[in-house]
Amino acid sequence: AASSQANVATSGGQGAAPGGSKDDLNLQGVPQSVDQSIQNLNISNYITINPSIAIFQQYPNLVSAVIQAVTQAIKEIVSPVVDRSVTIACITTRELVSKDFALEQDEQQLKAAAHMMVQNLAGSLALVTSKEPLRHTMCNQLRAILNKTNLFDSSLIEQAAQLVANDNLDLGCNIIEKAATEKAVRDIDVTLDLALLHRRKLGTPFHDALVQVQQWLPILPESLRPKAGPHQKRVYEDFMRLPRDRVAHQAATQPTATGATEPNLRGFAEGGNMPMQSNLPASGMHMPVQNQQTEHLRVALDK
Amino acid sequence: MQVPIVSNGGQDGPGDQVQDKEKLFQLVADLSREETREAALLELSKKREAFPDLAPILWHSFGTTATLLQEIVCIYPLLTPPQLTAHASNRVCNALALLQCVASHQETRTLFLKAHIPLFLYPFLNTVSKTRPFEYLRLTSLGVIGALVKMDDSDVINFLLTTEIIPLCLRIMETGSELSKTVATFIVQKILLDDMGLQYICATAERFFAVANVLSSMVNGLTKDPSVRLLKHIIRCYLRLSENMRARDALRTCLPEQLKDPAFTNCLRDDNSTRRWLSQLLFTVGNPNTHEAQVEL
Repeated sequence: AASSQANVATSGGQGAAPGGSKDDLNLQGVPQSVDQSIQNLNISNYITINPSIAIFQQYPNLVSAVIQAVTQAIKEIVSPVVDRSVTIACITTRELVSKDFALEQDEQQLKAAAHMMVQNLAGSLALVTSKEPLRHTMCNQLRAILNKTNLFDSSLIEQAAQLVANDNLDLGCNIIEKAATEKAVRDIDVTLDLALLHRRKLGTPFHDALVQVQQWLPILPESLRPKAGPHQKRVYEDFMRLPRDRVAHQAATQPTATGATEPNLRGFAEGGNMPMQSNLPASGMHMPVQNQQTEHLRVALDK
Repeated sequence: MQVPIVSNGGQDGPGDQVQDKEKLFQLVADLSREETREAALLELSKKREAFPDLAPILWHSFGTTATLLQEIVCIYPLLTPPQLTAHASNRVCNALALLQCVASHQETRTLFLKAHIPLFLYPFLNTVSKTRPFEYLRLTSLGVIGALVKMDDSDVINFLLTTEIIPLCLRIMETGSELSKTVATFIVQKILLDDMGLQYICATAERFFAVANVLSSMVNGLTKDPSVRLLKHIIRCYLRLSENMRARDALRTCLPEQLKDPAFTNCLRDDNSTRRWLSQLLFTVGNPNTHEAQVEL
């Protein structure tokens, strides 16, 4: 019979803090590479096959081939997505942390902030980039396998492929997110190597970030300046706390009350080369466009 | 380096300036607290024109850029399946407005690019939902990229080419609103105007035809819904493409007929420079001699 609802504890995984406590996927040890982390994880144990799908009731022996297809799809997507997401997250984190902690001498402070930030960025990027490609790849693999049997007509195959892909999409996303956050934490220490070294070696000449910051310190009031000490990490701690569904919740509960400025096209006009007139559809964009602002925009842009 | 903060073009008295500066600092500080952030985002994005030094203050103050980045990534879960509300869209667009400010400013553009922050906007450009919150999100994100390319900096072009912005722009040019189409076409035009960009797009037939087909389908669309500003950018793109020999050859067969139709191009009668570009384009593409002359070189 079909391996019914081998449902993992992935539900709600999207809401959990990335990388933190999601060890329910049972990775063994600290994997050295994405591929290895995926190999160590027996994905097929976690795959959900809905037993009510007609095809599998009729031909239960097809289930293992389908599990194989889903596993294959996840493996295909994970590596490129994770590599790209982690690379970007590490660069962004390095630049922002180096700047914000330029005056911080304690390398642990720098490292802690970087870890919190990089996990969130890498995980978020990996999730948002992988979801649709993963669904697509899963459907394709499933269609191919079911087509090969010559047993079913295409509408039945399509239905089964969609259902199985939907049921396993979160699993795939969680695996990819987890692989991304884990790789990000490992990679960021390498990316930050130089910045950490500067803090370890006394008397190291001023580094770029410090020079940058000192140039701009005078224009900033005390309260906004980067400084040393543990008191200013909150923004970075928010990266760990930020519940993914905060926004979804907020979006669902709050009415459309806030105005926004109109699309930010004003700057284009200065080059003389840019087209913008402000004939935004009058009843158009959902945000209230104030007449005065619109007029200003029109004059500025209408060259 | 002491950089004075002058607001309102310096029309106010010095007392007002100090007050404005205090207000600005307070708003930037408000960004760091969740309770005050949303109001500060709205206020700052409205007033960004009034503060010439807003960009360096946003960038160099502690944690502000990280906060803006949080505003961006926390919207990601609302993209697929599409669940973005007007409220969430407005809020993130205000954050994007501040990043656009950073992208436009001479002192911060390079740092912004070096930190790869534009890449966090690509998931927004990759959305396809036609609802207003999404349309507005794409338009505002395009605005940030547009602000970058407007600076004619080859580092910007290089960054965009290596990060595959062109396919994203092409899709918006095919399916977006008129305004989004125009900004996306402007971005492609700016990429083409850079030598490296032209070379990149003309390097393979596949890339060239991807661009040429979209331009041509936009011209077709204009027959039904005319837009002078969009047509202007399309013509500029074609003209620049025609400077590449292989592209010029290809354009002889794939330049839309409408561009040769005076009834269609009559809308450009008041726009001298675009009319000049158009005749130059038709001459270059239509005249085989220009090709031979170039080949002899």
